[in-house]
Amino acid sequence: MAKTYTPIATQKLTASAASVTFSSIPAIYTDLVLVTTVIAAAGGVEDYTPLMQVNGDTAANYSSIRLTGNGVSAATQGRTDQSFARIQTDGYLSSTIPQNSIINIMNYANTTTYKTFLQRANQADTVANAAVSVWRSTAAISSIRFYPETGGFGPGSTLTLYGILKA
Amino acid sequence: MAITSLKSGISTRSGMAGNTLIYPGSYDSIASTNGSVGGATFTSIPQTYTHLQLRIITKSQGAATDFYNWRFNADATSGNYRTHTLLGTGSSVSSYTNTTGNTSAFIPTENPGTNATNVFAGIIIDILDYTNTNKYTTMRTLAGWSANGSGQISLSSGVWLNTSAVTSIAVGGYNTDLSYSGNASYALYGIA
Repeated sequence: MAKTYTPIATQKLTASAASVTFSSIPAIYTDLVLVTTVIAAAGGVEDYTPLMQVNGDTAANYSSIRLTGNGVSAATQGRTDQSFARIQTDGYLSSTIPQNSIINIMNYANTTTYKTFLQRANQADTVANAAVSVWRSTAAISSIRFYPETGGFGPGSTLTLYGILKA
Repeated sequence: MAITSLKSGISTRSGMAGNTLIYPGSYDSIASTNGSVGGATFTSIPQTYTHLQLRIITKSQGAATDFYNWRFNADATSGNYRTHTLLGTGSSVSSYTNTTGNTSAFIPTENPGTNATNVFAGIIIDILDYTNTNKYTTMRTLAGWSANGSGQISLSSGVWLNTSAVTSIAVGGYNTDLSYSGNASYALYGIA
């Protein structure tokens, strides 16, 4: 059997950063998986959710649907014509309690379909969240930018990108 | 110094200085296919892993909405499958169950062909402890699609009420005559 699920790159922040970018992603896998545990920069604004853009595309080419539970109720929200994929609910990004997410970027290198992201993300002390996002482009994904809606990520934030290759 | 895993039989070298460490495979690609009509079937699944993961992108060719379903070991016995689902559409949340009389299990991924041509649903199915013959086999699913104004995201659990080891998996449309885009992709992985 072909071994797959290969770590491509890891970034562990030792200082605050406004964003983290994985670039020059090789187009040799079938799917990508981005695993993140991030906190807000100390002294930063503890608010808002991580966002994601691919290939530097800042146009309104993204849409998302989220499903959220906060221990009291379940909710859903759709977003259309966004300039980013929204990873989490409209919750907050804490400087102490990490927001974790696993983002499956399906068939990222094909050039005939839009790109679907299946996401599981949690702000562990407030909400559990599942979401789907679509980037309306048939271009292969070669870079990913992950950033908070406002402020920056704090030291200790870790992001790892994996590649999965089918037989 | 060579090290051989008793479980996998895969040889590695040690991590001693001077050796390049080679990790035994822990997430292997078993098989894949680009299905078009009726989905895909994986047979003769190796019994050497702990869990399976099935990763799918799919789109119906027809105008009708469709539920994806899955079936193990070609078992079409009525009542042998149960699923529970939590689903959000962006405007409403619902939960539903399929617990009686089912000859297969459902994945709530209605991705109609009326969506934009390039909109594909993503489905990830984890099939847990699939070789264990002491208990029923369970699975969980994360699935969804977004067409910029419509779509759904869902979490599902499922169980096959049979203690046999899973040796084959069929996935496809509930409406079996539906066809799927030639860009649909089905990939089965084994997790050690």
